Amino acid sequence: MRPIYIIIIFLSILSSCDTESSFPIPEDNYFVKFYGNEGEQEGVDFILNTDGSVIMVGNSRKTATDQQLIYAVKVDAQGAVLWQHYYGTSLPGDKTAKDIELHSDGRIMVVGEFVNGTNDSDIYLFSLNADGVLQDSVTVGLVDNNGVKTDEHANSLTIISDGFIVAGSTTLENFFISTVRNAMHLRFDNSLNEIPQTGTVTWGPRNYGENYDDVAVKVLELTPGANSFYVFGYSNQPYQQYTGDFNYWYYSLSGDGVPSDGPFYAGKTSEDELLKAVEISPVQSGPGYILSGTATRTTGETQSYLVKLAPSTLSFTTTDIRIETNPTDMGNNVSGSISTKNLLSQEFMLLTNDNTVSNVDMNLALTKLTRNSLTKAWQVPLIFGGESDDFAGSVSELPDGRILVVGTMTVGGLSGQKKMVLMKLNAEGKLTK
Amino acid sequence: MRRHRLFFLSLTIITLSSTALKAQNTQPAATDCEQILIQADDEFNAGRYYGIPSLLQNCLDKGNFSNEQQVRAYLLLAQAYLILDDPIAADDSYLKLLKADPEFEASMSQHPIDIYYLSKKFIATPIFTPHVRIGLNTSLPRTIYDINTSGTTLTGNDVLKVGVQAGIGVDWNIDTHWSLCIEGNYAYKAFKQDNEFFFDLDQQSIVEKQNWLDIPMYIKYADDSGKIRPFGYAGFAVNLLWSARGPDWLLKNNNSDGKGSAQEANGNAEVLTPKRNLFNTSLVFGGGVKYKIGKDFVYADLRYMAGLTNLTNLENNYYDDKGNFDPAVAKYAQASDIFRLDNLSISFGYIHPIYNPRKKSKPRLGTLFKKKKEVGKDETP
Repeated sequence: MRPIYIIIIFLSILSSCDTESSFPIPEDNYFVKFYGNEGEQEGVDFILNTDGSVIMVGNSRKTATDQQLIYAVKVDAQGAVLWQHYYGTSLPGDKTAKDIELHSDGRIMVVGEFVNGTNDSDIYLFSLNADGVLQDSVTVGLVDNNGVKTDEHANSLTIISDGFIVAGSTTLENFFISTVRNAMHLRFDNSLNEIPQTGTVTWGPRNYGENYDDVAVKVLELTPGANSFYVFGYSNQPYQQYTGDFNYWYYSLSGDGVPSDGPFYAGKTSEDELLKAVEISPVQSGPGYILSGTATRTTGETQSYLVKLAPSTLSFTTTDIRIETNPTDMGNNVSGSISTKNLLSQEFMLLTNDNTVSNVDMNLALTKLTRNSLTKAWQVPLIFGGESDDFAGSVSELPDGRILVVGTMTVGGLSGQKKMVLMKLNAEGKLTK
Repeated sequence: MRRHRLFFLSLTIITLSSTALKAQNTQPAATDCEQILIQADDEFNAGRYYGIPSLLQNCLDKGNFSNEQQVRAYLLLAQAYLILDDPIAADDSYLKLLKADPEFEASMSQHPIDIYYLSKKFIATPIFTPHVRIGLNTSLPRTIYDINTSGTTLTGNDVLKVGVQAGIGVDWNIDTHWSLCIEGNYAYKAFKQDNEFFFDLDQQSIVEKQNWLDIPMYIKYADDSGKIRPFGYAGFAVNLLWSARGPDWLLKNNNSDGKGSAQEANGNAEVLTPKRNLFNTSLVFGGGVKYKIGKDFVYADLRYMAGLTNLTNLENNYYDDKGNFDPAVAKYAQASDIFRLDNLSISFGYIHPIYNPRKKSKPRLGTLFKKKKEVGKDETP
């Protein structure tokens, strides 16, 4: 080859210009996006649509003196806002979102709660159309036998074959001790009418528990239409070796809401275990349920804590429970939110709060767990956050294996404001292609 | 006191006397050599060529000719040797003439025809011309793909910042007009981007300061005569971005309390080197003028370097220098765009041509562009 050709090739390589077509669109693969308007906005949970768009729900407070509203935002697959709305302006007090689910008929279902008065929070369940416009809503506030309004809090919403079940807690029977809660499970038909305790079709009692602190976190329908449910939560009821510490617990309900089996407990006597999320374990990983939450030791140290209940039809015996090690150090005195998600690979994703990096500020921590033993698939959790507090919301997997994480980050440093954050990560949890 | 006066008077007399003696020694020599040059000219005009070399020899050997006189002397000698049919001596004289004045050019209108043709055998253009430069620059980021941390559209604008550069270079002169050039320049470049409407009212300000080693390579055309000589060039550059930092970053939370007050986030300079690609390239265009001072030049050069490559290292865009998630992403709501960087600079410099009077040889670069003759091909139509 003559030198001139070598020179020409060399020059053309050197002079090749990077253009938009030189790169895959970054936001197709990974991004960090903040959402919100003036004030503070938190990210709680999200749903993923088949077109790749995401609808997130959280909370927003414009100024310290303003009421907190529920905030929902829909973004496209690249994270650009399609619409954003606020909900609950007609309700008193602060409104707090807890869960969002996508109904098979296209409705976007959101459950939260609002402060109706002192020691009187009520449940707020509403549906949105695809444009985020409020379609229907219902509020539920219970009243005890003395006519006193009680304190209800929602933890999750479950879409069942003919309606919805909200899991949470109530002080309906608090035995005159305000800190004592009962597990609560409210059932609604598809038109958001609550199923009453009396009548032709009944559901109840709506609370379950004893003279202790009992909380329902998630209700799962065993098989669609079977009209049989499992309730998962936590309780500090003394039972056998447990002498008053909090443990995961679960029980079953028949089709009319009457407890049919349980309760049963999982946890360590030396720790307080508080359940945060329940995930159905796929068959390939061994059918059952993954219960994840926090375990706080007497020393004050809090870690994530996972329990697998197996098989899919619980026999309510100790052999059904497999207690895992504590895979993620949660730092001291932290009671963060935890989200677990099973992946296409049958592994599990665990999203927690974490303050082990600086031991000062809270960050989001993402860990992958092995499919069989639920031990760490990644050596160390991946940490996301700034110099101020940042909180985990929820995690999910895209069809291509990429990971979506919703949470809250403080934008603007130590004196900044909380903003809802959505992160799209690659399958290794990295913000790269 | 009196003794001091006497000492200074004596010193002054000695100094003045030595200066006068020196003037007497050189002045007559220059005058004599001018006379000798005139005499040699007369000899030439009278057709007495054989004596001219010996006539001029003394002044040439002793260096008593001025530069202009040397040119006249060697021109006369070259003419004489041509007439005496001594081409080797004529070549030697013309070569020495070019050493005295490298930019001497024989013309048919001003010089004898034989000198004109003799001159065509020689070239005095410097093979290499080193130069130094220093100046100011400003940079403009060219976004290839906008990466921002806001889910909504922002309004942004670039603010020009001033940088400095200094460097050295050398021109490889193909002929009197064209040259291939290479430089090595240190450049300090800076730019600023302001974005508005984060979360409705908030403002973001991002500054980046970078240290570069720019290596432009270009082909230059320059005027080859006159005191003031314009030039222009085009080529490309290898640009090594060896450090970058982000001082004075700001995220201003306007109306932070709902009553109109603002809260600002700022802090230490961000380390941006891991977020940048080391190896970059750009196109180079420029031009200017050079001004002749003696055999050297001073020059002013206006240059535009159009960045060709993306500066952002996409593997590290969201990570700090330790590979952890960069807290600045949350603190300042900042992630870098995919972008090129253009740079406009003005430089002032000094050129010292290394003249090399020589007989012409076949142009070496010419072989690069000649079509290779195919062996055995029938050349007849």
